[in-house]
Amino acid sequence: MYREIERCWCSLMSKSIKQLTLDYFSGKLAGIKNDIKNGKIDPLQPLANYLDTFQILPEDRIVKLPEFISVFATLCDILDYKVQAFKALMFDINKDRLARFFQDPAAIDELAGLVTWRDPFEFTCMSWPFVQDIVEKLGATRRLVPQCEVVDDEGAVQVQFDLPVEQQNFFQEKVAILAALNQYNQLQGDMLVSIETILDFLENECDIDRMKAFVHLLHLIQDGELIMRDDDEGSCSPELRLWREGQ
Amino acid sequence: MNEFKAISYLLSRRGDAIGASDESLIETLGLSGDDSHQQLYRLLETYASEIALFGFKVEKNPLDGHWFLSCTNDINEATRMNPFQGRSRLASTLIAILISMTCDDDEVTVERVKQLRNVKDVMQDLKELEAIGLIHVHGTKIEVAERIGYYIDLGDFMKRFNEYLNEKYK
Repeated sequence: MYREIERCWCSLMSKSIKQLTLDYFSGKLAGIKNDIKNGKIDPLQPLANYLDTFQILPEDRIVKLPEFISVFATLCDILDYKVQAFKALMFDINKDRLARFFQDPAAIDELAGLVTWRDPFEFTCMSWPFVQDIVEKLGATRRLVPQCEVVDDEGAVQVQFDLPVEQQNFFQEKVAILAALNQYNQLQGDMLVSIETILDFLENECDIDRMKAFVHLLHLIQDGELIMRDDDEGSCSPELRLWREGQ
Repeated sequence: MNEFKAISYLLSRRGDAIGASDESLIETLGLSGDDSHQQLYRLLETYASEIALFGFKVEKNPLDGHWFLSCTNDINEATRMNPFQGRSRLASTLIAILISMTCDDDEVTVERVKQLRNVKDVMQDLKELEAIGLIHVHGTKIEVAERIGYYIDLGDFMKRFNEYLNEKYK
């Protein structure tokens, strides 16, 4: 029993995200088709969102052609239900009744009173530029979750898992470190500080992993933001200062 | 601010455009990858089920592809919601335009709307409807604008119209 569950779990885990998306999409469409067929939902209900999704399904659709054919067949069935429903609706309008409607002077006003109107909801008191600024920040901090796969000797995926996401990417972190160093009182003016002192500062004050901080310092030296003292080339404890205009 | 709050504001945006398109939602929510649309639809699906409790629903205007917020059908029916409150002549003129558009073979004209409305002049109504952005008037011809999709469900309207004809002129 346990083996069976484990096998199912591995099979599910070995499915790629794209495959899971396709399964989700396919399942949704099959559900809609059945609901229309059983009269649970109106075939004239808009399906635009699902049709749009089909247009942007993964680009490897040729590889998965058999599965896409089944999705496409379901979509065609739904479309057919919709066309038939619309045709039925149009043919159901009786010409004699329509002529009598056109002759009736009060009919339009009466019909207008029966229509279900709707009014889009709005937040009038919200400053749109403010909201835009906030949602831009929301978008900027979102990162795709890196995904790892464990494969066996034959290359088959055994397990997939997600890595925790870093709060900042490397370049944002580098900018933050440079800003912190600019505020560091031991690096004001043309003061020189040993690399170990800087690493201590970044580790203790800025809570940055020492090894990561070291890599950032190398990048900042390479960028010219940090300058190593000329005679420090062969020293085991080099001293650094910040690059400042005119110095 | 979380994703749902951002979606609320995006869908309730109103001005030149109402609500937000797929692309604009994807961009502002920072969704990326091949499945960004699917991610968005799942978010909207969850969002819609959460806000239904408060009497709101997410709808899509099929004419311009924008998602927007509106009230659930029970609230619409119970409150007899009408964006033309106190201006029923505008609602009647708009209905006349829609009927001419679906039932006549020719284009919708000012003359035909006047005839259907059985009034001497509809120009003032047409001007007001054009100012709301629901129609465009080109000389004697009238075109329906995409914005109309926010105010009326055209499929539902056709069904109601058919039911009305069958009930009234048995």
